Amino acid sequence: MLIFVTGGSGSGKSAFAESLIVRSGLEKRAYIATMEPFGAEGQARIARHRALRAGKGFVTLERTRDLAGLSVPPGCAALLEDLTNLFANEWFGASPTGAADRVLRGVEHLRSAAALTVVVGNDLFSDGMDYDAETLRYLRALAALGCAVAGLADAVYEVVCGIPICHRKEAAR
Amino acid sequence: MMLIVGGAGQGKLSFALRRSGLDASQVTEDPRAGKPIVTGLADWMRGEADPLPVLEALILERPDVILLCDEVGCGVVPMDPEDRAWRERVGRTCCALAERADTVVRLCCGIPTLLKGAL
Repeated sequence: MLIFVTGGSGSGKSAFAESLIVRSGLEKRAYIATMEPFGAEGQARIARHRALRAGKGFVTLERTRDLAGLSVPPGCAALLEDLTNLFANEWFGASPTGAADRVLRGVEHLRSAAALTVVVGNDLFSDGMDYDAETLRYLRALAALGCAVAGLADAVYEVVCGIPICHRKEAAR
Repeated sequence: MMLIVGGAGQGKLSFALRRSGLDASQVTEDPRAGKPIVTGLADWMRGEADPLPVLEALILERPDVILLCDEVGCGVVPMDPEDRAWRERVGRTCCALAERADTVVRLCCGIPTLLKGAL
């Protein structure tokens, strides 16, 4: 089972994604943290997320790249947070060539290893796209990756002001 | 309280006026002005480090107030740290307002989607 959760920055995606994991009733819970912890703002963001998921029984696995090579507890509920960071790390930290494929293979790997995989993504595509050519190339690739993950997903939600909008829900495949 | 969100130019204010039957004289961009429709909350929050208490006071005073806020979190992380903090503040404030709201509506291309409550 794969669930994709997207939305804008500060929209309450993480809290909703965590609630999906907790509500699943699966006891083994893995939080896959993808962010490179740069700077005070990065640290503050990480601290906020740690506080949010405290007491919910997550084991934190830090993985900034190569998701396909990560071992997760079989049958666990896995929360990947988030697609954008992982993709940026692959794109800027390794190479744009094949970056989306590497991430997508990682998501497929998680989906087969875990009983429930929740992937958090971001809407970065609704503020006019007034960016330089290089950023646009990155954004288009990230948008296509989001569509590909949504294509694999059994359910797709967009979170707005903390409220989930269901764009797709199918019976477990 | 009704919260109306959506991107810029998506028809939030037209919808608010249509729903409420009020006219443009009842609309303000200042939550402290005591009017029934407050628009432009995202811009207002640029100058408010701690916007929620002001809005909570307004909701207490006017439980039927209609609040309009642009969605601003759907782009690349801004380069400027103040812009980043503002964007985060707008997002979190809208989550908190949505919790308190009786009704939450999102406008897209002039079309309302009900996210909470009833119309």
